[in-house]
Amino acid sequence: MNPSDVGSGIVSGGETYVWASYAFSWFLILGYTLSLWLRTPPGEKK
Amino acid sequence: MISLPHLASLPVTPGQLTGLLAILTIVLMNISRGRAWYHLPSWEHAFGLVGLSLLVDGQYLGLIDAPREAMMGETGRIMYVHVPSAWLTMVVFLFTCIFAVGFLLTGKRVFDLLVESTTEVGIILSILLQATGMLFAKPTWGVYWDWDPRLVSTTVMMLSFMGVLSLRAALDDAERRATWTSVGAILATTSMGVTYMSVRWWRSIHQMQSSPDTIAKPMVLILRINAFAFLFLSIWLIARRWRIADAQARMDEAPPLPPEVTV
Repeated sequence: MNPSDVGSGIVSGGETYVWASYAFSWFLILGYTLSLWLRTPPGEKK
Repeated sequence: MISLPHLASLPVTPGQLTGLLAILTIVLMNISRGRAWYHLPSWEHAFGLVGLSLLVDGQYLGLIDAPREAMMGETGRIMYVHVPSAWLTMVVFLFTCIFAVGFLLTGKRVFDLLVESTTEVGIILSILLQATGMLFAKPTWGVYWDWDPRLVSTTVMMLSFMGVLSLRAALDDAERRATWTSVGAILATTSMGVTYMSVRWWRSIHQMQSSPDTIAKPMVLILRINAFAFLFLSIWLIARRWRIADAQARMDEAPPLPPEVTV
């Protein structure tokens, strides 16, 4: 391995993973909230 | 990431706007149902409102305002979702254990229902923790998954609490179900200690716990805002889940209907 292959040592790019993380957090929280709403008996929906 | 104005320069933050829209929705629903405009159907909705507003602002700060991390670059922004979800997973599971002990000591149903609610919400948070961890690992470690002590112990912790809910679903007798759920939850909590200490006990590729002294001040503030967002939303979700469990328990306790009289 050449020393030049090491690069700067700083991670570059990766924006897609950032967006995926934030999108997944919303998807999970909203999805779970929806599941709670659907499971709530009609009398308790307030 | 993207060129949007900094949060401090906005006349109204996205979180404040979300909160105002949510309040407006509640007011309109109250008016349409003939209730007082300020009526709040349940106390936990106040936590949900604050949590939602904080989450919107916290994620805006994480995506737009936060400085680039020195070594991880843009990828470091995943930290503002990953770390608060890790904190809250631990906090919620710790409360599961406290409620389980509370049930075994007092036998009160409210503790049993809280064990069920906190276990389920804790599992959701741990799924978020695992997913964001994998999305963090790929650009920084080069792989989504590695048989690393921290990753394995976190998965064991999540599966242990899933096992508690599976055990609960398998038992019909309410008394036995509550007792065994509490015992299972206390046993599962031991895996939480292993997860927390895994980066200190074994050689792990995962970094050790940071402290406010080792993180730049603007990053600490954004982490705290997101952590409080998750805390408030967790309280809201646990309370909503508790209401479902309570309604189910009341239905189970109701006497059976008399047999239909036929002529």
